[in-house]
Amino acid sequence: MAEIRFEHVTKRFGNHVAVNDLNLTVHDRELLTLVGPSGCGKSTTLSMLAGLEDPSSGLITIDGRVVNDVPPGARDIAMVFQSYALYPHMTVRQNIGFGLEVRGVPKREIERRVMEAATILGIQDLLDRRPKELSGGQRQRVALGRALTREPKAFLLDEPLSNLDAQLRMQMRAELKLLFARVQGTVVYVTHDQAEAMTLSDRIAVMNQGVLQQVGTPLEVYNRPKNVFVARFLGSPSMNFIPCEVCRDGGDTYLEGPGLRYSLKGELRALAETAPDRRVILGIRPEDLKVVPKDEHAGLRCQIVLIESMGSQQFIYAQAGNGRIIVTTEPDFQATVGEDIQLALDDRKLHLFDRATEQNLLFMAAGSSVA
Amino acid sequence: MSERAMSPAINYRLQRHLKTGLLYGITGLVLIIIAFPAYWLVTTSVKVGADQATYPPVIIPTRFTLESYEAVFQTAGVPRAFLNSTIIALATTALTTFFGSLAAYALAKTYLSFALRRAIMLWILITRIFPPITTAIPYYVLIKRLHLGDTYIAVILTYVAYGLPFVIWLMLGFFQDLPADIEKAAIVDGCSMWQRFRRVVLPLALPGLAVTAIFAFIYSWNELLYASMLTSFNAKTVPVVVAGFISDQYLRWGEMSALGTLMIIPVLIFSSLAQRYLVRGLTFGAVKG
Ligand SMILES: Nc1ncnc2c1ncn2[C@@H]1O[C@H](COP(=O)(O)OP(=O)(O)OP(=O)(O)O)[C@@H](O)[C@H]1O
Ligand SMILES: [Mg+2]
Repeated sequence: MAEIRFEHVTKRFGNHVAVNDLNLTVHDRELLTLVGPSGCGKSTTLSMLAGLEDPSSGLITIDGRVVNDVPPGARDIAMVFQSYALYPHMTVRQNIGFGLEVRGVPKREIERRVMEAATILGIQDLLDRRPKELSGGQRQRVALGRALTREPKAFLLDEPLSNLDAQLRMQMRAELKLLFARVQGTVVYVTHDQAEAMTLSDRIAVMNQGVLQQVGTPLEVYNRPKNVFVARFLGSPSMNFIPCEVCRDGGDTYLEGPGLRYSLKGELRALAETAPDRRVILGIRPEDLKVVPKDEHAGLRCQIVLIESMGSQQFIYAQAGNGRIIVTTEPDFQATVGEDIQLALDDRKLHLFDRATEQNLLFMAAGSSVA
Repeated sequence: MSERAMSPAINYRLQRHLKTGLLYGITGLVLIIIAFPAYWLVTTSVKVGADQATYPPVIIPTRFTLESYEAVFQTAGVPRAFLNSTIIALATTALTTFFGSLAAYALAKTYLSFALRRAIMLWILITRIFPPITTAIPYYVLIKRLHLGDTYIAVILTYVAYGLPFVIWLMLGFFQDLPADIEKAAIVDGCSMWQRFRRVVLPLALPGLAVTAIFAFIYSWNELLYASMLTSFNAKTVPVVVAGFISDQYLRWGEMSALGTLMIIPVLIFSSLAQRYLVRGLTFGAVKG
């Protein structure tokens, strides 16, 4: 059992606010990822939870107990550092067992738990080596092993995969997911890799400049981003954003933007009409756009400027007015640079943001009840 | 391969050979300059009297004798002086490295403003800024008043006081360079401050400790000024005996060189023992690198 709660937690370094009024609950046995761009306060949040940094204000609780004044060693949490931070003068066995030894666990028990963790991670053969004799992936496993043996209330991982090459990272990502499904601990996982966040998490917390932007399941956050920042951060390639006006023409309502005149109906029309000054940002993910024959009226007209073939899919970069649009297509889709194309939109896949506040209209219109 | 393609390669190889040769030449020259005093000392200790201080100097002696060594062993108090020097040097080395690294660790890990830390570091250095002779007389009086004249404690205390600033300065750098994450890992693993220092920090700082210990040993082994002031018989150290071969009537080059040669041996032994810990790059592999 371990439920972690941040209540109005703020951290200042001098004048710089690294974490600003954070309210966040990590449920028992949940894997929550903290994502955000570099410098947004992820590591600081984790350090405060571990007890390595004191919050400037606010409360942190673990299982309902306020831990602000509890020293790190007594919080019963284990941490995996981005740099792995293995003890270079100890063997792998000693590295993994050190936390237990310091806590006075009997030798037998240490040996048993070290073997258990090593078996889970497949590093039984490395136990007598020193960190410098290990590859990056192996060091990564040792760092995980050190956390696992402790059998802590919660695991904190700070960008544990960021030092690995792309292929190993994919492999370890899958292994981590299986591993944490097996140990059933509460996990707070920091990354700035949106793909890691999407694939690993039970829930994602997106941060920007010290402020928590949105918390939710990967699909919630992906499909109903609260604001432009979250929408842009998750998904690769990023969502397309087109500044538009909501216009009335007789009984019809249109979205008008560069290369675009799109008639709105039903729910979407109602939503668009809630835009405070009729100035909106239209968000469309690259995979939600479809190239259609040019004679169809609805949609976005643009000109191809670049084609990138990825093997399994194809990215088409196109110019619409003075904006750039990215479309994902099938790998065998035939197109040439300079060609004019027409893109069809799907009402259910459009996101409307207020242009002044960059908030999703869904959340603004219905107040907080929708969220 | 055509000739046009080959000639630059040959040029390059020639250049590399020249460079290597030059490098060895310069290194050899520097080594000779450094080693010459030692060579001079050792050879003088086995020269016959007539060759010891003549002009032109005898650089490569042809006549050898052990007379100087015999004379040294007949001098009263030489074994005792070696014992004294060993005790004093080892105790000084142990105490300075121990307290010095504690102080340095505290300074390295305490949240101090940059200016304050610098002020403290300079303050520590002040004891070393003025020439030792300026404090020699007050020191002498102080030790006398404490009734510690001619004791180990007097000498050791003095040497520790003089050695500490050096140890602190040297070790501070080592501690500050340790990756912060390793210590954080130790904290999360549940280490107390002391456990962290002993189990994680010190082992990683071993190369630094070894360097420090070698310097502390050499300093206290060779120190003359304070030793000659604070000791007369019981705690008399080897350098004081060496200096005793100088008087207003004679300069005993042979004996001085012989004793000087003998003095080098313990330093060599200690340094080579300590050198085993001078493993470079010990922190490699701890963090991504
Ligand atoms: N000890 C410190 N002193 C001063 N400023 C700090 C300190 N630690 C972090 N900061 C600042 O706080 C902000 C948040 O830092 P943090 O390390 O939490 O970012 P992050 O989200 O983990 O970034 P990254 O993805 O690069 O690791 C940054 O602007 C950073 O410069
Ligand atoms: Mg970070």
